[in-house]
Amino acid sequence: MRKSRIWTLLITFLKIGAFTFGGGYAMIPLIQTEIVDKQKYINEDDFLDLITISQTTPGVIAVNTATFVGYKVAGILGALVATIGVVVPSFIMIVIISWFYTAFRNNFWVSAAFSGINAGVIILVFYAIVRLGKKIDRVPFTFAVMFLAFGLTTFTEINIIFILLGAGLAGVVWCGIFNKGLKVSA
Amino acid sequence: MIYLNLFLAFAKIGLFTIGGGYAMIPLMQQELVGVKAWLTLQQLTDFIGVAQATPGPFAINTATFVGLETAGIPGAFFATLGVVTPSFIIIIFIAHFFLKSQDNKWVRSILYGMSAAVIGLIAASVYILAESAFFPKGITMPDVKGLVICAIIAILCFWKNVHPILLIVISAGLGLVLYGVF
Repeated sequence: MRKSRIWTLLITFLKIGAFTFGGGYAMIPLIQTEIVDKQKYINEDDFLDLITISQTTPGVIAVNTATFVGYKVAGILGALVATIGVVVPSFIMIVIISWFYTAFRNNFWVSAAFSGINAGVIILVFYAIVRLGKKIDRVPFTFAVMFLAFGLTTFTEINIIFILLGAGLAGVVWCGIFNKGLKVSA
Repeated sequence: MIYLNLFLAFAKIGLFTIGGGYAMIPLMQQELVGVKAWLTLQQLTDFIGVAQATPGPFAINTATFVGLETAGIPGAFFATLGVVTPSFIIIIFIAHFFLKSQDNKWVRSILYGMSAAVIGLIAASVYILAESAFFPKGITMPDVKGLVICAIIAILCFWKNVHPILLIVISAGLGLVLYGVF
């Protein structure tokens, strides 16, 4: 059981490392498909928690997410395997590309393929947020936080860590002090 | 000694950036171009271009590339290890405590607000990506090819549930045809 989990983590995160373009967000739909839907190691509510914490913690978001998902699925060894998985394909590809990187960058066909990927990835990330968005309570409070975070990130230079901290504080005021929002009361 | 220096420089970059790959660029400039003078600004800009065009997390790609150019394959190894190590350790600690306190009222309250904000943040990245992909020359000059690719991928993704990896491969194929052939 545990052994097969470790193996699945390694294979999944190797795939994620090899097929994620751009930043850490593009890996979200891949983890959803492999770890949440297919293997059912994590449910979608917990997955949203993991993404949120990975965003808020210093470091590389992709590594944070891999480490956290790995830890949740199979402990420290799982964390290690998932992290190695997400790093190794990049490492190998960069070493290979660096041998002929000027030719790679300026190649007409390479840049045509990347223009296509850049367009497709937008839909992939959009699909991921539609799914995650379904896990959020549909109340004015969460909509307000969502739109504020969107607007501040898009149209101002405010560091996103302040936006996240502000949202966390708003959550404490709303749920903790006014006792609203939370379904389970501990 | 260069290996230890690479490790430490990238560990610092990994430790002090929140918000992922692109937030690391200013610190990379400071550390790699300014303090250590391992690279010129032009070299760093080139590396960032290649790192963006290569699969995998942007920060890992950049670390590997800078390490490689500075001190060969062992340099690449230590730079990559450096950028990964702080994340790994911090997340293990957080994960350990979080999974125990996941149902705590205050933890849930913080996450209640933050999760909503994270959805907004990711939506913002979609908006910014879409703006640069579809309107590279402003709103009056849309990139029709990009919009066509998006429409096809959206249909395959939302209605046919095609696997994300296959969608990436299809996007690349569509890019080759639309941007390459026409």
